[in-house]
Amino acid sequence: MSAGPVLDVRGLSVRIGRHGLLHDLTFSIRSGERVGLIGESGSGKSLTSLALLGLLPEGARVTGSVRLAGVAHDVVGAGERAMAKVRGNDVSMVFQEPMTALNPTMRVGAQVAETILIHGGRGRRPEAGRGAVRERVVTLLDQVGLPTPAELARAYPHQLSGGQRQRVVVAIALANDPELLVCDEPTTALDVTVQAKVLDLIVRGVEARRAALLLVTHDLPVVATACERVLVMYGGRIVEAGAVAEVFTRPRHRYTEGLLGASDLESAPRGKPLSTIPGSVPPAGAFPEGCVFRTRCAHATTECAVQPPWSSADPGHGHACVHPAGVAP
Amino acid sequence: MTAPLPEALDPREAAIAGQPPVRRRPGPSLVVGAAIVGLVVVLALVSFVWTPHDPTLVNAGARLRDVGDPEYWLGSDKFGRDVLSQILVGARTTLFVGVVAVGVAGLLGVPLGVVAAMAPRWLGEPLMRGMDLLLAFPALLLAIMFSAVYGGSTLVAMVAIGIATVPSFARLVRSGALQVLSSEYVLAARAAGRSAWGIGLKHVLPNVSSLVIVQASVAFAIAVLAEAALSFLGYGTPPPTPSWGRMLQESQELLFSAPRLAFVPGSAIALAVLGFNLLGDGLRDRYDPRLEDRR
Amino acid sequence: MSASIVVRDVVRHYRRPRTSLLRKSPPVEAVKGVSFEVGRGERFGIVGESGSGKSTLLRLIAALDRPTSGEILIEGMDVTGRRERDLRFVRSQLQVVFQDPMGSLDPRMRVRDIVAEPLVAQGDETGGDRDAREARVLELLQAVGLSGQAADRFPHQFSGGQRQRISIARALAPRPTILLADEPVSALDVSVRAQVLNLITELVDQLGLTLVLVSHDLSVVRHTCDRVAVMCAGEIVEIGRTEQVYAAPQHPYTTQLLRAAPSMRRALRGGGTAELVGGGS
Repeated sequence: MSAGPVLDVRGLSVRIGRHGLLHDLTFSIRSGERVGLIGESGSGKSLTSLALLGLLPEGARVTGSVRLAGVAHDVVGAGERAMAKVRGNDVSMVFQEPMTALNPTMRVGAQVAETILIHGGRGRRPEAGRGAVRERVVTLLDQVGLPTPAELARAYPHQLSGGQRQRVVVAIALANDPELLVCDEPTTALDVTVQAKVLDLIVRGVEARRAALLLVTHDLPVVATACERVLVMYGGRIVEAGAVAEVFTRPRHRYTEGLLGASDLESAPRGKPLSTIPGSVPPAGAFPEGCVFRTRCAHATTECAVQPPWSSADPGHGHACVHPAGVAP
Repeated sequence: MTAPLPEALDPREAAIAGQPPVRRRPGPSLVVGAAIVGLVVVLALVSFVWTPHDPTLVNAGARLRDVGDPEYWLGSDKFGRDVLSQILVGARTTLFVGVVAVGVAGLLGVPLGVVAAMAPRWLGEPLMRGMDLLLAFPALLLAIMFSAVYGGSTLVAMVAIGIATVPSFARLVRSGALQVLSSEYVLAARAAGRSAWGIGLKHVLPNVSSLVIVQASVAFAIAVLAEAALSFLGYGTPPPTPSWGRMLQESQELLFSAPRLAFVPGSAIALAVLGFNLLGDGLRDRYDPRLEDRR
Repeated sequence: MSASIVVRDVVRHYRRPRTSLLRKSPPVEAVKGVSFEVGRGERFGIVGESGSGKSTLLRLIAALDRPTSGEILIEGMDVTGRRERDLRFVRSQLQVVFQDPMGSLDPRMRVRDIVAEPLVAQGDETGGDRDAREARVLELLQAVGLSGQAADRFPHQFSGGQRQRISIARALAPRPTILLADEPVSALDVSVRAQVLNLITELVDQLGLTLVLVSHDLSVVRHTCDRVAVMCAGEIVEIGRTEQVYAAPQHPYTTQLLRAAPSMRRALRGGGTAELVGGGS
């Protein structure tokens, strides 16, 4: 466990084609911390998670810096060979679609074994041959709550349910005890009861390894339940950050405020309309200059035509809004 | 300093209108394809009005002239017939071949495919097995049989080729139609009260059209080449009517001494096939509303 | 209170293709004997996970599928297993909004044709008059918050939430009395979800429609519906007034479902993921 942050992102910006999609992202995650990244479609949240693993498409122009603990080089600008050593090892990712995340022609046990063998143990876990790997695979499958793991290891993905497949994906991701686990909507495609189990599994998995977690999703209650800190993204920028308890009860940025209001179906009285954010998310490249949210904000003024500064010195706690909620004007 | 924003940025007005359409310049496929096909059409039309010589006129004294000859611009064949004139008139045959064969295949194959997809199993399955049988039957043999019964002519041969191509259209359209039929918008159409006919016409056909266009351009190529093969066998376009396929066939015995006699009609065929393929691709893309300005 | 929809002992089995030469495959029992009634003007929710049979049930009610056995009555008329030409009444009284905003609109049709489809298909209440039809289309587009310009455009030029509005406009075209919604907001972002839900409830109120809303999302159903039925493996395990079912669930599956859904309130009180699965302090 290092003293410094597990993930340190500074000024990350991504352009694809004619449009800037991510602008000047700065945040960090400490060891063992669970951070949620909230955003809707078009916010850039998925692109951010891909950028952290160096999985951006060809033709993406990236500036800024992404440093991972235990990795000597910057992820930004790293070649494919260097990144291949890092992925699955120092940082792992769980994607949304369990149906397509696994190779349909390979037994699931073999897929878990593959990730162990590729990274050859890292010295922390000296593997001594196939027998040891097989044992490790069965242990991992058991840890993710799959029944009869020794037999299940020989199953093909299509023989498993969506929830079971996602558990296998989590097993693969955690096999080499990464410092950081990134999950992009890991449970959105799953049923409610299955979602609960897989979420619990992910949280227990990172807790057991004292790994850090970055959970990317649009589902606020999921972040509230599983994470300690939250980052809110809109229009390719982080508009607010802070502790979950703080941000979700006393939001500052008007978008966070609007989002919380719109998603809170529990407290909205029946028969009354839900509070909404007027308008809709502009397409990429059509976000306004200055504050990205100002075209939909009831409190916007001419001051908002200039990019609002971050409200504090700490990129992990603060907001980018000159007319924040809950603060006397 | 805290003046409210100007009207233009006020989100509370402006009902949603969706994204405005992006004007697309026609793709290169469409332009080049249309140009080539246009050229073939022009050649055919011109041939009705003027040809340098009578393409069927045998002239023993002008045999095997070379390309660039002052009288016979693309040379002459072993009978002294002008190659250029044959190319011009042959363009008519090529277009005729394409239209008849693809027309027959499409007009029969597409509805069969749609019906097979929409019909209950007891009708659809035997229909497709019938298509399989027809597919297994050699096309050229069918053409020969038809020629024997109805007399050899381009029309007869091409109807036969068209019939032999029906299964490929039918199978393709059926598979595309099945996909369309399993979509939610067809379910919504049923909920709206559309009859089966309505669904077939308004939803299935437009959504399989891109498949059909591409298949048609492929079928055109096959038909032109089939006509060439049939002419080789003595079926298909009977002499003396010029046909690019027969020109190609006749050039075989002189392949080493006068390769230009194969090269000219061969290039014409290749160019026409390319043109129709590109045109097919271009039309398919042009009429797909989803293909936007690809950034 | 007269019932808009009556479902009595409805069963839907599907035959699977044979895997053994000698024995038939056991059928898939998608819906296993379901009964309930929906009163006129009521807002009725059906909650369940995938495989619960809720979408199959919705299609049965919409007469888009035939039950293996049982009865379905729409506005007093028996529609069970009727042929399409005898279902015209249903098609004008009952309309459906589907889940997938991408897939439920024909990508090759312009919005005006999509919205007008029920009118055209049902022999045109506007009497075949193009102008009257156009006026109705514009009226509908306005009612769902879209501008007249939208009529000329194609579905791909709109976002997911906007496409759902188009779906809703289409559903309202023949002036139905019953609206069925199959996961209408599941594929949408949070803020868009609120907008579309508001739109649905507003229109249902304004037009006095009976609403049947199918969803896997408990909070959506709770906010929108007066009564709810909880489905599991093809059966209704619990049914009752929404408030009651959520406050005091009777069936263990309902309890499990309620507990598993992440809730902001519980999370802010300190509940973690362990609570979702029934463990933890």
